[in-house]
Amino acid sequence: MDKDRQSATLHWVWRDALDSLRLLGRRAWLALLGIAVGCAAIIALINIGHNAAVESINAFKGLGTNTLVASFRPGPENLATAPMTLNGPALTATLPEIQHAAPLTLYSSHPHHAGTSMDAAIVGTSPELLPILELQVTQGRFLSDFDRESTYAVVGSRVAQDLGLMPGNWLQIAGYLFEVIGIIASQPRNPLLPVTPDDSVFVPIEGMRRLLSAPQIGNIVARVHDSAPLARVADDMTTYLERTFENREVDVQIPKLLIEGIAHQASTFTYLLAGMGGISLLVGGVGVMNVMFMNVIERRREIGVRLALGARARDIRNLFLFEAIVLSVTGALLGAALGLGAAYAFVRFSGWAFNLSVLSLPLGILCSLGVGLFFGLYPALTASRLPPVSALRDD
Amino acid sequence: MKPLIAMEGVCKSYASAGWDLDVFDEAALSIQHGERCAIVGPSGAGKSTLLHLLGLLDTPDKGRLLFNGCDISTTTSDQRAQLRNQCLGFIFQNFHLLPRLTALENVALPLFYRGLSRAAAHQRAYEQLERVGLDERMLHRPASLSGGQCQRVAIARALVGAPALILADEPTGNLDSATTEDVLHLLLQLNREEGVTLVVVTHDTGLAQRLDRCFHVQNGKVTEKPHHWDMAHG
Repeated sequence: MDKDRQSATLHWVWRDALDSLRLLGRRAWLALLGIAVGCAAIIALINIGHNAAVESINAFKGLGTNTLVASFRPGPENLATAPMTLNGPALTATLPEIQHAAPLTLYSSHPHHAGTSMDAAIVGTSPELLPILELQVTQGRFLSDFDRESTYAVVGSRVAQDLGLMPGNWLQIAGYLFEVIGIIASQPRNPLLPVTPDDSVFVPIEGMRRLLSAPQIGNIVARVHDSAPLARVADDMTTYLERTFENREVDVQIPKLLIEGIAHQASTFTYLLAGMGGISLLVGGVGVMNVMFMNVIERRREIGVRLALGARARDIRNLFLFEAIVLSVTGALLGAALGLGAAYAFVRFSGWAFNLSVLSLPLGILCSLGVGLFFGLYPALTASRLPPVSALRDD
Repeated sequence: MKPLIAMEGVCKSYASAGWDLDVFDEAALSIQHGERCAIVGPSGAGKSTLLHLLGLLDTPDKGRLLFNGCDISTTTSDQRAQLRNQCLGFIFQNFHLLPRLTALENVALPLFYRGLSRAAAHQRAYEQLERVGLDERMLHRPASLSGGQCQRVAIARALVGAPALILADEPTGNLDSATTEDVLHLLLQLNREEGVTLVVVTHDTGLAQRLDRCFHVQNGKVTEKPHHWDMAHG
């Protein structure tokens, strides 16, 4: 028999499927809605999760990825005599992977200027802090090696604003007058750093003795060369510091690992959200199956007539499968638009910058298509297996 | 001459409510090209089952069913679909038109399964509608046509594929006497002019008497009755 002659053209099949969907009316809309909402849920939840992750990681990004923070564990009182300052050049000479290292000594105080005062952290440090924290000087200059014995101060943006400071003004800290020589641009708060640049007043670490009777280094921040292995350098730095500052225990933290941990946590959260979206998509898929089954049952007679007129089992299967495809494709596209809109609205409402998760679109759309097809296939196969005689029987 | 369709020793039973209901037991018949046949018998005797077997919608459990010399038990369901599409035309008591398609699209439907282009299919469907006198109603849907008009659309649909055999299941069962005459006249005219073989299942004695042969279905057998035989005795 001539096999090629008998096959329904694609055009006819599509038209047929579209026609019958139009006549399914409200139930087709419900199935469409199920798929669309499922797809929208996946895309929206992935994007919200992604943006939450980006936002939380951004908070730590300022520290860079090749920074180390050393802190001295509080030793037994009295016995612990940490050095007052750090020999930066000696450290970088011993550990060539370290580009810069700067000590930090913190002291809380109420600096005064022109009758106003505020709570601020007085940070004794060295000029290397500028490149390590990537601080930007907006006015004046940062501390230099020649300022060690001077009563100079560089203030953070909030301190400058609240006290109305300009370079050349005098700032009174605990009875000493410091000359403001520079103002630092505002930087986002970084929880991994012991200092908040905006609320700090930076003074030469050598001058901390004016403010504290026994100043001790609290932390050392260091910037490592880009290619250096962070973990090994951190170990070397611990050894070096423990040898240099005898009797003190040192903890060197690697912010990069912390950031990676946070990123990992954030992506776990994203998976969780995507899983929730997947469940709602599955529910939508069951809706499609429900609608398609009702469709097959209601059109049993039509299936019989088509079989009598010469439709093959596969023609019947295609008819119902194409209806499921039309539902899935329309639903997936509608859902993608809806999901993106919802995620955008949520992200903007939360005050974050919207950052599209590129993978979410193909993932959401493909999942929806897959679910729609999977749940549409079974009713279509059922329809194609109806024996012509029983499909034609009048009930 | 080779018969168009022949049954030899056909058995067919259905499982119904836990029972195996024997509809046919060693039934036989033979129909030549161009003949006009009636199938009569009491309700539930198996007239429709016989029509389904002749229409290749069902296959015998035992025995041979030959269509144009080809043994149906050796065909695949796709091949039977193709035979139905190209050699057979069905007319049903309830018309079985698809409600959402227009008259023209309903008539064109069998051609759709032949892979004809839309324009060619619609052209041929239009010719058939013209022949049954419904060309002016080709864009109406079945709901807006009368019973007689629906059956004429169904006849056009059965004819559009230029079949060798038309199988009609109580084609006038749902029609009044005037339209019954119309439809019957149309079927007989087709047989005369085109040599289409007609097989009509009917309760109507008058209709059966206007056909050449009359097969009686009863007790699992198919027997041919001469025309003078009074069906009231059956």
